[in-house]
Amino acid sequence: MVSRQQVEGVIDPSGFFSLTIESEQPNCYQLGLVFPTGTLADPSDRQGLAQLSLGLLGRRTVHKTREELQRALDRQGAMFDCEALDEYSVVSLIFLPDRKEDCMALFREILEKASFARKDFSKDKKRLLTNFQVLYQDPEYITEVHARASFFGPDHPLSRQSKPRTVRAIRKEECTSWIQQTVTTGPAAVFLSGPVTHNSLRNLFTKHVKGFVFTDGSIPAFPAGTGSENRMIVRKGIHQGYIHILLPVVPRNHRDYLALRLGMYTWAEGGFVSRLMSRLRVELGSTYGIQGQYQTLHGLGYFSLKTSVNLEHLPGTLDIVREEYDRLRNEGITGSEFEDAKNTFINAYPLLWDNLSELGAYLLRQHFLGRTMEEVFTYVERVQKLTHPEVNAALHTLPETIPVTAITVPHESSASGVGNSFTLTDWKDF
Amino acid sequence: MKLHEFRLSNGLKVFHLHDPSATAACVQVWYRVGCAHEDPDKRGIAHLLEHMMFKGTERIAPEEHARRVQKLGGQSNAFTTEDVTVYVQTLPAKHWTTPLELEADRMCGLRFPEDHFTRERAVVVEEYNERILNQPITRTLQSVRRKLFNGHPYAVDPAGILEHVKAFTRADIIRFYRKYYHPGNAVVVLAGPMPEAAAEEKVRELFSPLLSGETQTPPIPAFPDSMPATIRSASPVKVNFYTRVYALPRKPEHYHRLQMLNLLLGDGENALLRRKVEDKRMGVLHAGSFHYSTQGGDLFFLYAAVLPFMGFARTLRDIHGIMEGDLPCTPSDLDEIKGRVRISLASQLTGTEKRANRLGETVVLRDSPDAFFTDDAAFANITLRDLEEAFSELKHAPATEIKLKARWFPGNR
Repeated sequence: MVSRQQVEGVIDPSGFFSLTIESEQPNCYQLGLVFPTGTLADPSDRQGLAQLSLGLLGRRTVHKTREELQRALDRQGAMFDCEALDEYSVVSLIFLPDRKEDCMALFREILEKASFARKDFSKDKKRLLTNFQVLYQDPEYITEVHARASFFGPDHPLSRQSKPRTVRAIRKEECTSWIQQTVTTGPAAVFLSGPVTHNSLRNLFTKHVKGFVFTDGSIPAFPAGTGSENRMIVRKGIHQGYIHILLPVVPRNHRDYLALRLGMYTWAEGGFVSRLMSRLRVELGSTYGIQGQYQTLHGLGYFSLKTSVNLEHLPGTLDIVREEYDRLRNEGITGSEFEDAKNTFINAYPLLWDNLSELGAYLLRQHFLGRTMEEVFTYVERVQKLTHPEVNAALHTLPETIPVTAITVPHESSASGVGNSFTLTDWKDF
Repeated sequence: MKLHEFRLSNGLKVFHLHDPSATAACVQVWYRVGCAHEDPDKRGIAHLLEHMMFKGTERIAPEEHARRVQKLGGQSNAFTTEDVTVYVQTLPAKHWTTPLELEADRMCGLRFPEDHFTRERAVVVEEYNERILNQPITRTLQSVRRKLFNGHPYAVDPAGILEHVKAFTRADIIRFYRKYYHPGNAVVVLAGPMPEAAAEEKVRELFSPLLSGETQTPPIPAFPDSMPATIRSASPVKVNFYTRVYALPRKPEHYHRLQMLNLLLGDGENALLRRKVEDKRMGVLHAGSFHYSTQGGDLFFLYAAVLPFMGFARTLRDIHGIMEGDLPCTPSDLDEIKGRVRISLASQLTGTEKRANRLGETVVLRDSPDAFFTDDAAFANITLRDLEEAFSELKHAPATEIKLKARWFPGNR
């Protein structure tokens, strides 16, 4: 769908990154503006601020009521959206080619002349507060929150969760300030695609953002997780045992990153080809799924593993996970597993180029993690160069034991057999 | 892009969306059988069969299907709905023949090894635990659904009834498979750059030897007259939920009209329910609508989520106010909705798999392969009169009111 020639990334002297993709399919323009402030930057007593503030952007402007703004967007055939991610916030617009100038002007107005009524703020706050009721009923969420609190420590951005207390404390003026500061500090990157050339895309953008400040989007590296407490949480009424495991891995810019990715894929990230899926689902039938994910943020890498299992199998599942982890770390992966994983990584690469939006998001992410476009384009060559001994050597640098495991069970007795290294924890204690 | 369609003598229909610019290929098989076709004492069997389809044939070992696709850099998945069961493979375009071979093999050649069946049934039970029993909201919705459809096949969702699932035997599932999984009851959907002639040749080579079965899935009965007027239940959270469900018969003109009506009434920042119900009162957290098209008919939902201190009465009055009047839509409103539809349609079709999904929906669920290319124009041609007719039909359709009341608030009425 998209070839390399259609993709261009340019970094200007301020560090601002412009990613453009020439594409006639779909027949519309896509614009995504990235600001280097996300949910992880929320003050600890105002967790939820980024999400609440960003949700209010695009409701109305100084010149247009909510109804007028939406009508204007509809008439132009444009869709506006915004999303607060961990490290960044993204404000996006999709619009039809025949109205591009008007749409871009509207986009600028939304950013520069943002406004919202107190009742918009109050209602959004009520919605967020109500959402907690649903979240707190979800044992998967509770288990994850506790795993993070243990692994990263309570003051780490990745442990701090928005809570009813922090959301209630947020004032309308703080949301206004957040929006103003974010826009004033300036975006760090833009993604633009459309049925015109790279230069035309960039010209369209620069024409409509005159006066904007741009930044390089660098944010401080996050500290690594070092916790080692296993937690057991009791939630009455659930019908399974939930498990969430966290362990430190190398970040994206480390020389062992690709090697370790391959190894972790074999252990738990690879869906039906992973060892854990084979043992726990296929052989034992104890779970519907294992979700392993290699996560990277600025200067930080961690691997998360989660599953929910038949309660009778909970102790056995933990034993299998630990056993397979030990085997992975001490013996590595086999030659055939190495070839399979490597081929999968290489063969999957073309799929990335099939979906424009996903490709744009991926390339932006790579940029912020320090990868150049050339490094992205030569990904396959780098995977090709990996050797089996290299992967196993990287796996051997993993921690000797899994540092943090959190489990959630319906009652304490249903966790008999999991060992007594778990600290019984109140589910609200995070 | 071009659509190429053909049919084999055993009844298999094939639709190939040829896109020379794609770097991926998507191969899907849509079986015209879903949970609504299950026997009343075998609810959940279609979903369990979906799982068993990955457990091997004479030629392919258990789990090998997904592994082969993954090793080629692809992804394989499947889902079961009320009306269909769909198997999807998306992978780099050069490997497009592999999923076709795998699908042809398992269409009639599944083995059902006993040990794998027993374990996979246990997996399905855990899936039920995870997605339903551990989630109070889903449990509540499941219970409401059964009351709403009141004996109709749609009363039970694809997850089935847990006691039935636990009791399924290998013979049960083989029976279901042989009855409904055959070329005459299936549609192959392809999308990607593979040349038309080569794709047709490959499909004919692989699927022509398969025998057509005897059973075509019976039509889904229309929604029952006995759908209740009101359903009351407890809300699993401290929020009252109100839903009004309209049941309309299946008609070709409904799709576009009801989609537009949905945008007007409840989907979008300027939607009527948003402006005149949600924005009107602080206690209304959300108000909106959605349209769900099924083989049994069209369902149109109006909903509101309300804080308990408000009760239901005022919200109902506001909704009645909208529904009992004339269609509140000017020509300018209609143009704006059409603008939204245009951009929505344009942006949806990014990626080969999304295109294949959409093609499958238009071909199998809407019986209209051309709709993939003509939906744009069809929406653009909707008139105010069309919407007025649809609105009138909606207002007079049988409706059920569902009230989920938060339990903990003393003054909640």
